[in-house]
This record gives sequence, C-alpha cells and structure tokens, in this order.
Amino acid sequence: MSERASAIYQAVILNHNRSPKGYGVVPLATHEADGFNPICGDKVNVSAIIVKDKFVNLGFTAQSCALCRASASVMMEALADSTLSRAEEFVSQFENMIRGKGVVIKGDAAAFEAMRDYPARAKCVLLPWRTLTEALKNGSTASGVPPGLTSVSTELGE
Amino acid sequence: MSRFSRNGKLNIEELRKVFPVLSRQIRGKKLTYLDSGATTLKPLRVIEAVDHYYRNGTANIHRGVHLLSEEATSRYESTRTAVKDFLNAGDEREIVLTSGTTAGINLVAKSFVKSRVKTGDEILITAMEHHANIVPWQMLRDETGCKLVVAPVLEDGSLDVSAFKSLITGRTKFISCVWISNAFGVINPVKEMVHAAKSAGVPIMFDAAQAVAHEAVDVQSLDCDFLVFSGHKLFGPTGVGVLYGKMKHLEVMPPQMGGGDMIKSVSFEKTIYADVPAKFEAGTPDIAAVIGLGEGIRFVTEDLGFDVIRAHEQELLVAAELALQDVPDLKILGTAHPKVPIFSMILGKIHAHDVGTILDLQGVAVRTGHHCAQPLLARFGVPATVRASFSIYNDQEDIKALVQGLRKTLEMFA
Repeated sequence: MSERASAIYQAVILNHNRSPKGYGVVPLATHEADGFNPICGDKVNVSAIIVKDKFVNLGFTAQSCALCRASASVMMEALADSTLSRAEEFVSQFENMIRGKGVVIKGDAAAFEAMRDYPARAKCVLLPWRTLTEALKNGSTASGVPPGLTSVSTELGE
Repeated sequence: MSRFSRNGKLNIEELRKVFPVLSRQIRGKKLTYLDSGATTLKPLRVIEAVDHYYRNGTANIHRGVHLLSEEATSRYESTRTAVKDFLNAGDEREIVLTSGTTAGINLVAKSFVKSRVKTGDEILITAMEHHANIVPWQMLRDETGCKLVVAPVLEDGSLDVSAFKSLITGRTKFISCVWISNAFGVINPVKEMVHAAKSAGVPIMFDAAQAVAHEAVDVQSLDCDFLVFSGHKLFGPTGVGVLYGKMKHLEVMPPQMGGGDMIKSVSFEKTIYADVPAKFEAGTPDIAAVIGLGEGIRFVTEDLGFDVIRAHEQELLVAAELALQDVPDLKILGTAHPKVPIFSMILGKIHAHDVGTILDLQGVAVRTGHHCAQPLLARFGVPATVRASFSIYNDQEDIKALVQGLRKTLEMFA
C-alpha cells in the first residue's frame, strides 16, 4: 500500500467504516436531517434526541463511500453526550481542520487531517457534519427527500 | 501509412510523445490517463495551433480588412471545411460551430423541434442518454406539453432495438439518441435506427460526443438529420463543438441568439439575418478553440486514420476485458458488443469514490460517479460506478496499472 493511500485510508478510518458507531435512525428524534452529495449520490441521515441542550441520543445512516461513513461514525463518537454549544464548536473545528486552517483536534477525528490535501473528497468527509448542522437548525420538522436535503456545494461533475 | 503507423499498426511510443501531459508525474507516479470519456488529452499540434493564434495572430474574424483578421478568418473557416470532410457532409454550410454538444442539442430542441410539437406529441430518446440529451427535452416537454418517451436498455447495456422501433409511432415527432454510450461504451446500431426513423418519416439526431474519437462518421451515408459533438472529446480544446444539420432544416430554423456576426443588416426597424450557418453563430466565438478543433481533426485523419484507431482500441478492449476478468469481485456494466474500451465498474461493496481515490494515488485517473447518466445507472440499481475510458494513446501498461490499482483497493478494504 502506498504511503499516501495509508495517510487517507488509515486503520482508524477503515475500522470506523467497517464497524460504525451510532449506526441507525434514532426513534422519536427531536432533530433530524438528510444530506445528499449530488456529485456521487451519497446519502446520509442524521437523527438525534436533544434534551436541555444536550444530546441524549445520536444516530446516523448512510449510503456512501467509506470516508463519509467513517466520518459520520467519528462524529457520533465525538459528540455523544455532548452539549449543543460544545457540538457546534467541534463541528466548526473539524471543518477548519479539513479546510487546512491549521486546527489540531484530538481523538479519532484527527485521522481525517490528511483530507486537507484532497478537496474533492473533503465534501464526502464533511457531509455528515453539515447534515448534523442542518438537523440542529431544522428541529424535528425535517426528513424526507428533496425539501429537507442538505446539498454540499458542487464544483465538480461532467 | 500515417505519421504514427506502419502497415496499419500503431507506433504507440512515438504517438505518446506528442501528448506532453503523459510525461507528467501524478502524486509521484507515472500518469495512467483513463478518463478520455470525460475529455481526451491534447496532442502538440492542437496545443501549438492554439498557442500560435494567440502568440502570432490574435484578431477577430469575419470583420476587418487587415492581414491578421484575414488570417484568423481563414484558419477559423478552414476548421469548418475540415469538419465537413470529417463528417462527409455534402455542404460546408451544414456545419454550425457551437460551444459544444450541449449547445447543439439545445439549439435543435428550441429552434427545430419546439415549433413542431404540441400536447400529445412525443420525442423519443433512449435510457442510455447523457443528461445533455435528457434535460433539454424535459424542458421542451414542460414548455409544450409533449411527452418524452424512453427506449429501454437490455441487461447487457445495449439498446432494446425492437422496443426502440416499436416506440416510433404516429405521435413521434423527433428522435434524439446517443451513438456511443458515455457510461458503458456500447455502440448503438445507428444505421438501423435511422432506417426505422426514416420509415416513419421522423427526423433523427445523434449525440456523437463519444463516437467521433472512435468511429468514422459519414452523415450522408447515415442520412441522419442532425448530429452533434464536442471538440474536447476529439483531441481538441474545450468550448467548441459542432452541430451538423441538413441544409433544408437549418434554412428554416430561426436563430436562438441575436447579436453581431449573425446579421446581413440591422436597423431599428428591421434586422435581416445572415444565411446558414452564420445566423447561428452570433457574437465572437472561441476562435482559438475552433482553430484547435481543426487540428484535432487533422490529427485523427492525417496522423492516424480510423483503421489504425479502431485496430488499436479493439486490441485494448480485448486485452482489458481479459485482464479485468481476473480481478475478484469486479462487475462490469455494459458488456454488450460492439463497444469501445470504456468500462463502467463496480468493485465488490467498495464505493466508487473510494476506488477512484486509491487509483488516483497510484497515478491512475478514472471517472467516478454517475457519468451524467443517472437514469442509466438507476436502471442497473447503482448510484455510481468507476469508469475507465481508453483512447488511442493508452497502452498495455495502462491496463496493468488499472488492474494493479483495483487489486490494491481490494487489499485495503479486505
């Protein structure tokens, strides 16, 4: 395996892809959103129960590439039991790390740092995080196709 | 014998030397370019022609009496002649220079078909169209109330020809079909399709975007009404394309864009349009790209010839099919023959984007995603595939690099 390939597809990412944390739709979710990447057709659903500004339950489902799925799993792990303000801060830190803004974060999420050199794939990695942000905005009214979709911006495609 | 061949056999080493980008290292590896379906690489003679125009002869066309303008006009118009010969059109005026395949299809939809359809009428396409040959017709459908009818594709990725024929009825007012599928590389039986259309008296257009770099086109013998393609899939620059149309059609079609260069005279009371094809070419075009397209065509006809191209590509097709058989868990969509070496692949349960990234890290450039043919992939129940599309400059080493890259991907996800 080449050095570069192992920088992206690190064991920690491949493990999260294989055995994702928090996989499934949270029943009776208070917050939910669907995310969609029109470039590749990846779909992500993020659902949560939030009580008193704290995640009580958080889950996701994905029909996606390994990077997107592993990224969602890492997000589940990082934000379980988190407060909303802490979650929003972490989402912003994660995005800044991916955008190559020199932010260092700890834990499994740090495994995605190499993605700053692969902007085409950054969209895959960020999809779950953007979907979570959308869910927090939407509350429980969201879900379902097109109207509730969060489309990542696209500069690609034939 | 042509510049890069002897006794019909391609001298691939010499040919590769005229594609400068092939000597580039990609992420520290030799470039294996397998994305010619998206756009072909450009040979030196195209690059130099574009460079020459900007460096030695920048001028606008069809106006000005100075030498630079005359030279630019002459080189611009020489592309029209080259296209006419390339397509074996009967008349140079049947060649409209556009910005690409998409522009050509949209022009025909708006200028030719729109006034010929009403509620209840039908436009026939196939299930293997590129979005460029779907969306303009949907827009027309929504505007006019006509119906878009789609001829199905069989399990092997080929057109269901008998269904196609049976869908041509008294309600069918226009047929627009792809010649070679951009997603699968499968070649449609265009002669048979034209025959079916003619028997019913329905005009037919071909999207030849993928076809022109692989197959000789003879619009007179084929007897199609319209044909469109893009320069950048024919070794030429982006931003230029061709609409071929029969003179009798082009003459009655109103222009869709007004401006300079498409008029005979303008007053505030009345404007008289220029003749075909100028009436469709408003504004200053991408002159450099048009000149480059002419060189792209000369590269194909003078330096290679379709016999050489076909022989080399069929060799690659057979060798790649054989080599890919040995990759475990690999499924190829669109196995029907005749086809050109374009392979739409699914590797086990690994997502196309992951395969594409791991191949890229080995220097192998492929397309991943839906290839602007979402309805076709949906027909096969997948959102995305990995597409390796070969061209004349690819060799056996490229097949090896692809197979090796796919095997590495499998190892990583084991």
